[in-house]
Amino acid sequence: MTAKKIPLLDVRNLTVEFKVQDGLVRAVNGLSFKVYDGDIIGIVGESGSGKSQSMLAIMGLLAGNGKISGSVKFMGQELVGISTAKLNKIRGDKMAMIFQDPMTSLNPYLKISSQMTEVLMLHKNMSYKDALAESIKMLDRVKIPDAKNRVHLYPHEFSGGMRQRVMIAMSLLTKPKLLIADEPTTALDVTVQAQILELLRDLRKEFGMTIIFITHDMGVVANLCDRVNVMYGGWLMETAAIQIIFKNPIHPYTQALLATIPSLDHDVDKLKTIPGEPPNLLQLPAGCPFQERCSQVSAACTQNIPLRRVENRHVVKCANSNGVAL
Amino acid sequence: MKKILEVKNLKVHFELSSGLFKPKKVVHAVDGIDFEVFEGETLGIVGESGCGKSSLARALCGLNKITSGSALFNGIDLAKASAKQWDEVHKQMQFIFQDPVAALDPRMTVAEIIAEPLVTLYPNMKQTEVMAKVFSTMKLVGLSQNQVNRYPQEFSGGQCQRIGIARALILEPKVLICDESVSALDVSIKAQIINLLQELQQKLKLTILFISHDLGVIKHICNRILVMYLGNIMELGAKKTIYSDPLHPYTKALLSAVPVANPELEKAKVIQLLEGELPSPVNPPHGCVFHTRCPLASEACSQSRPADKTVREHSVSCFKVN
Repeated sequence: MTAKKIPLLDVRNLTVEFKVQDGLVRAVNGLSFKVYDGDIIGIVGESGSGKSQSMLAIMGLLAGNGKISGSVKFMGQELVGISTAKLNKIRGDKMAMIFQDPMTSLNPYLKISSQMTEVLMLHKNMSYKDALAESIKMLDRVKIPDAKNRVHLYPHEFSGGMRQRVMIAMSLLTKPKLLIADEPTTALDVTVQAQILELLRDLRKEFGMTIIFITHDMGVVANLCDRVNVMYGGWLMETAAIQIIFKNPIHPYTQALLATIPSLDHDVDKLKTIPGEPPNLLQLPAGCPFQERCSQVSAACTQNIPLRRVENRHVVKCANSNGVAL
Repeated sequence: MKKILEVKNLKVHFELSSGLFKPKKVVHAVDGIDFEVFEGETLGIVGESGCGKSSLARALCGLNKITSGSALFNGIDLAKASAKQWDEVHKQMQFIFQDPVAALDPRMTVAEIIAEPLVTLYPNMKQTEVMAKVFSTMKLVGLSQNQVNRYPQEFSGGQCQRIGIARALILEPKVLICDESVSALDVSIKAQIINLLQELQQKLKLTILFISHDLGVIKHICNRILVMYLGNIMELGAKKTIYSDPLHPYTKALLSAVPVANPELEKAKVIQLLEGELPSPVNPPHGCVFHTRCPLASEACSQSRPADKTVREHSVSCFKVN
């Protein structure tokens, strides 16, 4: 994981815009980050921060009114602007995505067996028989009891946690290099969440997979991830290794976010709050989107703010921070 | 401390529709629980989905029918209350829902929404008096008066929850039941609403029943905590001791599964993963309902249901705890 290595995913200046009735919504604004082989990257942010849209853009899954600019290089190949046919060869095979609600991602009319074998028959040219055997093996691997028989069930016959395991198994069939997980445990109970996180950690070890994990839960980040990207109003505010982010957050938004969480490991009389509300993406202020709620706001915040490197692989986008502009 | 609510052997069952010749199926959502709520306290109810915490809360508010048992509130048994008695109960006990946007009628203005409980339960109140109360309640929850004629869709989630709280408080109730009231909110807004609820509790001397699956939030605002699993109470005790010294194996597993926002603690932690899945509340296991997943389970656990016993000031329902 030296800095010289070619990153698995290299996102540069990614911007995602949507034309809506009331104007132009810029959901992601100049996002740049790199993901190296074997890392688990957490992406945290509140609703409207652009965390999901940026990942959908990378997968080429934006809604029809979405416009993407910038560059996304995956294993050295540019993904922005390539044809759907070419993209289809990559996604599902080399990169896969799982979503928050497995029920909306699975086809309720098809048995798990036909949904899983389809992936392998399409991407790996396997016969149905081989694909089925492989699917059962993978369901076993994600600890679905009695996989041999349960592969022939319909999605509604599984519980929420089991469905999410099926989704994970399905996304792993082709042994992708990169797994993008969009809040896969948010709808699950904590004890089930603990099982799924454990499973992801094991699978990374076994398959050498790289994972991008979108969440709003800082606890999950601390549990699972190596690095974290903090997003707000479409901007990447701060990125660093988790040991650094939790101990020495530099961006006022990261600091405030960590201070507002009621935690199990310490008690406070009154929770710190961030005043105001998340910004309206239709009417973003010039400069930093957090300025109206920030306790350390200054005149420089309305200007164009560069990403600054504070130390190796700790990057901040704040007008009031020190560091080398990138 | 004065008891404000006393629940005894309360059951909330739901019958599933079944065919003519099929046996009747019954969901045992809440299956015989006892607890008390004292004036001025915040009692947290935790548990995973399907444990019956919401069914319990809704039954206490008259939104679900109580199947058997009793719940004594101010001398009224909620299990047998008449419509007139429920009106009295609702003047003193109000409910705040999870999804703030879905809980508000999109065709009503903020003033109409907040005034509705008042207009319904005090039909003779003068219009000017109602509006004065609406304004004072809005101020109380941090809404500005010039928003009074707007519609819910013009507000953000956090503000909608403030409207929901105002609607509950306009009757000046003694008890608030909050069912996952901050779960749908973003982190920064969640903290604002939690602080608001705490301020209001002190100012108005409210008793709060706070239902949540978020153990961090529960720890922050509750005095006592009740842990439920599959319609039964597993453990009940003061906040401090539940978190520092959990006794029931389920409480232990639940607490260890919560990720803490501290990488060092997370690395050091040994998580007690629960095996398997939550059993169906249609056929809850015999004996202790948790025995199918319990790491300590033995033969005796599947035979009979453990009685509540008091250990180190917790009430705990487990054979294995001495």
